Parts: sequence; structure tokens; C-alpha cells
Amino acid sequence: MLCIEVELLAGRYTATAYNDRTRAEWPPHPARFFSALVASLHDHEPVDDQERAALLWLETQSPPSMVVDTTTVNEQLGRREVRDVFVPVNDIGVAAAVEPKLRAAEAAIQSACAAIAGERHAPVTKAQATQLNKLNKELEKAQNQLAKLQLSLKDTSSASAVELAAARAILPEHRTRQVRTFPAVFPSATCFRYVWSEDPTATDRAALDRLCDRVTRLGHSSSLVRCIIVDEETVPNLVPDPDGELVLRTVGPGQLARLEREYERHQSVSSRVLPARPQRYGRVAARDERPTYPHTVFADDWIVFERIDHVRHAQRGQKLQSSRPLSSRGTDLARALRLALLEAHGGRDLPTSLSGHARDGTPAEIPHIAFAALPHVNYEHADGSVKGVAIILPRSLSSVDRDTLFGLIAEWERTRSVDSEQTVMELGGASLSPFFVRRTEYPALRALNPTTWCKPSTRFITATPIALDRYPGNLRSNFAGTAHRASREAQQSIAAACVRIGLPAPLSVEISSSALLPGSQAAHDFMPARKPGQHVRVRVHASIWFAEPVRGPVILGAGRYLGLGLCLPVRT
Amino acid sequence: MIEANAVVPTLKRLTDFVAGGAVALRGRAVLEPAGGPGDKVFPPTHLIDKNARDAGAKYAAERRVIEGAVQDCVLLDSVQSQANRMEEALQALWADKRISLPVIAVDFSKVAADVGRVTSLTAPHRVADALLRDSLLNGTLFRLSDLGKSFTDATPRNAAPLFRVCPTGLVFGVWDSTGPKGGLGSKFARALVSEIVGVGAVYGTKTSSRIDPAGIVNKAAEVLQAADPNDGWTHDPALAAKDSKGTALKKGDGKATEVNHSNFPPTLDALGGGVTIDHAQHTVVISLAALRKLSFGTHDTDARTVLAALGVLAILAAEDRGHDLRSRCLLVPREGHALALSAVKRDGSTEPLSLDLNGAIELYNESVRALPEDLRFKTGPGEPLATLSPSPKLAHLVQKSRELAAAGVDLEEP
Repeated sequence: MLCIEVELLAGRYTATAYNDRTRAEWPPHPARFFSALVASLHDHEPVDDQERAALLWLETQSPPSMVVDTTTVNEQLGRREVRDVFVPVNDIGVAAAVEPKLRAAEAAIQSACAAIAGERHAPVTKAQATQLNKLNKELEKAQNQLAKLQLSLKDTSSASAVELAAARAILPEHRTRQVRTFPAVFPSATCFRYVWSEDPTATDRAALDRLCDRVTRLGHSSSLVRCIIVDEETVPNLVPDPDGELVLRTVGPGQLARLEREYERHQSVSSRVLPARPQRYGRVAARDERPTYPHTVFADDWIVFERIDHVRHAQRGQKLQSSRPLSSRGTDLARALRLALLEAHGGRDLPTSLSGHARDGTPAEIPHIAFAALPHVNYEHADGSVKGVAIILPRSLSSVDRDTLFGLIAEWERTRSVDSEQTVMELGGASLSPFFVRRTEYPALRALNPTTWCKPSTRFITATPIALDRYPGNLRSNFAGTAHRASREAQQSIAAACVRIGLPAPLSVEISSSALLPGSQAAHDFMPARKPGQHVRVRVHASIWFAEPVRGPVILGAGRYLGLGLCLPVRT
Repeated sequence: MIEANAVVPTLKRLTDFVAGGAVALRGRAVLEPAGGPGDKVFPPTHLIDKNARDAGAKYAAERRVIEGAVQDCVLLDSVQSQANRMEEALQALWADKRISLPVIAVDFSKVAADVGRVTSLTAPHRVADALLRDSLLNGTLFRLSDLGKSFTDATPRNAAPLFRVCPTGLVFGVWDSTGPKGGLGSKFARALVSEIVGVGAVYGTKTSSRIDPAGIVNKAAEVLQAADPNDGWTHDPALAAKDSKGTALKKGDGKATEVNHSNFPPTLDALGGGVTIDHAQHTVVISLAALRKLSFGTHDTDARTVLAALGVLAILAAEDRGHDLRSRCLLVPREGHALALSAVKRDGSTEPLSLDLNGAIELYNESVRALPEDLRFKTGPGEPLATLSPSPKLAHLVQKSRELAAAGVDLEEP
């Protein structure tokens, strides 16, 4: 076992979350710590071979567990409110433009003088005389240039508006300021630990210890730390967990080389993104065994696209704004996404698991990929707006089909992106205002995080209504008997829908035409999902209880492949 | 609180810490408002959304768990602000001739008397500041002079050039981002972090009002713009500036309050109305490990020890001046809880130290005397390493811009 302890010497940790620059990161990600070790490695040039080998060993290890304070830092506690701080700029000045020219003139003079000095002997041939003349002329020209520039510094005749403003802004009290933010957290326990299960060799351990000794900060320079390998038995409280809610960035083999390569480019000055692997972490369960919950035919690693509100069109150059549709327009977005991928495919035979149709055109019997618009629901200020769209994969998707799907997405990004980085695409359609999306691996918003929709629970409530597979009867009949029977039919239909997607039959189902979650919309706001000639399917909201916790994603009913019947697991 | 077994550090002990015996030096103090616990203090304000309504919205707050209980806390002085105060405190000691320190100064007194002298300790970006860059040393632009060129290539592995010119840059951090090498210029991370946070914050309301001592009523006269710019305003329509139709132009809304007469009814400000705190925590850390990353070519430990002593001196000097952070925010140490330093070892254990300002000055001076020849400071206490003067063009522009500002002309954003 290798256990490294880090103490926040000033009690504070300032580091920006990778997916939300207005928030502080906590707990400190293992990838960030690895970067700190790499920075220490490069304290000495040339790099120490043993230290390098030790880091190469460390990067091959599986993601570490952690002992870290997770109770005193959460949404409400331990975080300083992020406020704009105005930092004085330094790129201001009156002589700033002149300085590089002066330097160039001086350099020209020096090289001319050196060249002349090189011609030690008096010129004998005409060519040598001409050469010397030329060098002397260059020297004179550079000297004149220098004199002229130096004179310009003394020039008090003109005063353009720009120069006046610069002169005023350079004085300390009036210095122009630039906005920066410094998100910080203050955990009650200032020490935390990373724990790897494997033992390093004695050489590697000693090298790692030397590296740890040189780690002075983690995150911003104001997060000064103390770092040391500890020997005692350590019981982690945060471990890698596929069901965990936290996503921390970790490293994999090749990270050291990648970081060193990236450094050549950014030199710690340009903006850069830390290469990393996402790893879900969860708090250690109280019980010894993690129970396995029943799950649906759909998987919980989705392909998520987040809504991008503003994008600059690459060709037209204009700034475009995305629409902010409510979840009732979600099926249009889902359809648009599906069509975009079909178009990227180009009409050749798509496997059933992707197209949703068998060879002969009939609807597929097997589960296939679903498209869902993800609405912001269930929180105090939830407005039901669509935050993004996701492609939900069936668990049974073969790796070949999976690769095909990724190929389609890549093709879509390549051919249909609107911005210069080729990452933002437009979902459009006849009835749809432009909606811009970008694929994201680390969604910041809860609505876009698959865990929000997939975590185990005994109770699920619809965020978008279920389109019932069969007509239940008149739910709004004035005759009590009819309405009641229709209601029973609907409930049974929903129970059957649960079974169809692989869940056990629910304990009870309650239906409603009005929204059951804050932010979601009434059932009748959703456009019916139908083909021409078909009857309109009845849409209802539902609250479903199961006897034991089940794991999502739970999408039910006839419209499930287009995002209708998307249910949110709620706490009971 | 200074512990009973706290030891006064000798230069030898400090050198041992710097050489590897300790990871950091840390100090903690408990402060309270000068008016006693429960008195109101005013934290630094920040710009907020115009729709903000919460009490104390302009302040940077946090809810922390301290010793098991949730406490509302508020930032009273940030890391950057504390660094500025410490540099000012060092400058005061240097100007008093009690310590020797390389200081580069720009004399603005002839150009703008209120600005006076700006030094590498008070300029926003220290020795890399634009103000120094725009000034002349013996007729040459500072960064093109020998002195200015000497530290252009300083790096953590080659820190001696910066040590000779601006050692505080190695303690508080400096980035020569607009120098000759642009963004790739010398970059040194800070080794000293200090912060003051108020604990037990309850937000209050602030009132502003004025009673006119002369009893002038707001409607006493209509206030008009004067035709003669030297007068500013007038009540006589005959002397007023007129618009194209010949009507006299009002100054603002024409009321007496426009020219600071008459009464101002009280306004209530709850967004930035001050805060009562139970106490404030002052935490300061010098990372000796960060100093150990600096190489000077020779006698590394001696140079690092000077920097450590300089850091300690800065902390105690600022402490000695008192925490007069801003208007209505004066903090004093709680009885028995003045700043207590300790050395933090690699394993987390601490060794308490006892040091006052005079001891810190003596320790620093001793460490400076122990420097080898090529790192020694070339100037004595109170003597600037170089005095620059603003370039004539800059001087002219500053004067002109001030004239224009006084005349009420709005200057463009640069």
C-alpha cells in the first residue's frame, strides 16, 4: 500500500473545478496531485531517473482511494462565495510600444559593430571596401534609429487621447483592473490522503518521498501544502465506485509523457486542459457488500450533449444564440438528433440496435439506442428547460455497433459543426428554433449527469410524461366508473412497461395529468408522438414505487426512444 | 497564543529549518474588533449582481465548520491585500533605515506630488511593474539599462539576479509577463500566504445621511450650470450657461443637494452594511519548501534563509502596524492570542517559536550580513538601489491627463 498525506497549511484549497470555472474543486482530484508531482520532478534538470521511474510506476496504478473530509465541504458548507476580484493589469504604458523597437535598434547596432570589428584588416580588394562601407552604413542607420526612438521618449509635444488614458491608467490608484475569481474551500479537516493498493519498490518509494517533499502547492499558489508518504494503516472513506456521484479526474499510463509534451506547448502560460480520465467515486458503503440492484435494459454511460447558449459561427462570423426550449419540445430535439446521425450515416444499412428498425422496416424487437432531451427539474428554481440531449445506449449494444455509433457522432461533428473548433453542432428542424449542443464528458449540470437519472431508488417520478402503449379508456370521463377503470388500465399499462424494460413489477403506480416534479410540465403540453394514421397516444405523468431499490435509467412507454417517459429517481 | 515552551529562533535554527528541518513556518492569531467583540466591522466589498437582495451580499462569505459547529464567516482581508500591507510595512522599516533591502524607486513627486515615490515594494506588479518599465534610469528605459536587463532571465533555478534586485519578489511572487520575454518572462510563485477571516458573522445595515449645518433647504434655489467654468454653479439665471434655445441649463436635477448643500435623507444599505463578528482568525504561512526550490548558484541556504527571515519580518512588521484594514475595520489581537509562530515539520508536528518585531529585525539583519560577496546587498538601509525618473513623455502625459480630469473632461478607456 502507498499512502500519501497532504496537509493544507493555510487551511484553504483554491482550485477551480474543471467543468465549472465559478466553483472550487473538492475533493482535490488525483490527476491534479499527479501534475504537482510532475512539476516537482522538473525542479531539477536533467530529471532524476529514479524519480521519473517512480512516476511511471504511479501512473500505471489504478485510481487511488482517498481519506478526505467530505462532510464539511458540500453545496452549503465550506465554500467561499465566489466574488469578482479586480486585479491590476500590467500590460499598460506609454513606452511599451517603443521598448521593443529600441531593443531591436540596440541589437542591430551591436551586430553591426561586431561585424565591423570582424573586418580587422584594412580593405584590400574593392569588394572588401564595399562590404565595410555597407556595414558602416547599417551601423549609422541603427544609431539614427536609436537616437530617434530615444528622442520620442522625451517628446512632450503631442498627447493623443489614447496616450493620455494610458498615462492616467498606469498610476497605481487608477490602474486598470481585470476581473478574476479565486474559488476556495475551507474543509474542517485540513489533511487528506491518497491511497494506492499496490506496494512500490523501495527505490520507487524513496523517489516518491523525495518528490513529495518538493510539492509546495496544490491548485492555486495560495494553497500551500505539506506532503509526505505515511506508513500507517489507512481506511479510505472515498473509493472508486461505478455508482458513485462524484467524478474525479485520475491518470492512466502515458500521463507523464502527455504532460511533458503539453508543457512544451503551453509553457505554463497559455491556457490548457489537464488530460485526465474520469473516475466515479463514492463514499464507502456502511455495509460490507454492495447489493446489486435490478436494472433496466438501458445502460448508464450515456453520450451527453450540453446546450451551448452562445456560439460564433465559423463562416458567417456572427454570434448565434441558442433557443431554450421547455421539456415539452424535447421529442423534437430527440428526433432532430436521431435524424442528424442518420444523415451522417448516409443511408447505408444501419444495425437494428442503432436504427430501431429491423431489416424489413418493422419496429425493432430488441432494445436500441434512445434519444432523450434532459430537462432541469426537481429543484427549487427548476424551470423545466432542456439543458441538453443524451443518447442512451442499451446494455446489449455490441462493441461493433458502439464503434459505429461513435463513428457517426464523429462524422456529424466533423461535417455539421458550426464553430471553428468543430465541437458545436446545431439541432434544427422545421418546427425547431436553433439549438446548439456540444458533446461533454464531464457535465457540470445535474440534469446532464447520468447519475441523476440512474441512481438506485425505490421511487421514480416522471419528468416527461409516459405515452401509454394502449388506450386505457377515457381518463377524464364524467362517469366515475369509466374514469376509474381507465385509471386502472393506465396503471397496469405502466407496470407492464416497467417489466418490458427489465424491471420487476412495481409495487404501485399513481397517475396524474399534471406535473408531479417541480419544473416539469403538464402531460397535455407534450406533442403526441404518433405516425400519421395512428391514434394519439394518451400521455400521463406517474409516480412509481418499487418494493426494493432499482437502478435507472427508467424510460417507459411508447415514446421512450424519444425521451418521453423519462423518470427521475427521488429520495424516499 | 505564544506557548510556554516557545523558543526564540536563532539564525542557526532558522537556517536548519530552511535547509530541510521544516516544511513551513505558520502563524495564527485571534483578532477582535477594536471596539470589542460584537462591534461592527466593514469587510472588503465586491461588485454584485444588481438583483442581489441578501444582507451582506457585497461581502465574500462562507459557512465553515469550526470545531464541530457551523459558523458564518466573512473574508476581512484577502491574500493579495495582506501581501500589499506586508510590503508597505517592509518599506516603512527600510525607509526608517532599520533594514537594508534592494529597493528600486520611481520619483513622481515633481510630476504628481500626491503619488510621490513608487517603489518595487508598492507598485502593483513589484519590480516587473509597468510604471518602472516606463521610467528612465540615467536616461535609458529601465528594462534596457544594465540593471533592468540583469533580472530578465531570472528563473527559479537562477534566482540570484532577482535576489539582488527585488528579493520580495521571491517571497510574494512576481511574473514578468509584459517584459522583454512577454508571457514567458520570469515567473515565481508566492511563498507566503496570509489571510484574515471573520468568524460568527451577522450582517447589519448601514445608514448614510447628512444634516446641513447652515440649514439650507433643498428647494432654496435652483442650481444652474455657470457660464464661466471657474465658477462651477450659480443660482442667478443671468450668469448661467444656456442651451441653444436660451434657457438656463440646470446642474443635474437642479436641487441644492447637487452641490453638496442641504440635507440628505438617510439611505439604508443592507447589502454592504457591515458585519458584527465574534472574532477574526489571522492565518499566515511561509512555505520553506517553496524557498528550497530556488537556486542561486552558490550559498543557496544563506540566500533562502534571508528570504525566510524577510518573510517573517514582513509578517511581524505588518502585525506591529496594527490591522487597520480600511475605514471602520480596525482589528486588534485578543488578549493572549497575539500572532504565534511555529515551525511545521514534514510529519506535521510543530515547534512553537517566540519572536517579536525587534527580534525579527535582528534575525533578518544577521542573515543579510551572512550573505556571500556576490549576493550581498549593494546599498545600505534606506538607500534605493536605483532611483528612476518618469520619462519626459510620461511626465507630460500624466500632468496633462490630470489637468483634463480636473476640468471634468472624460478620458477614454485605454
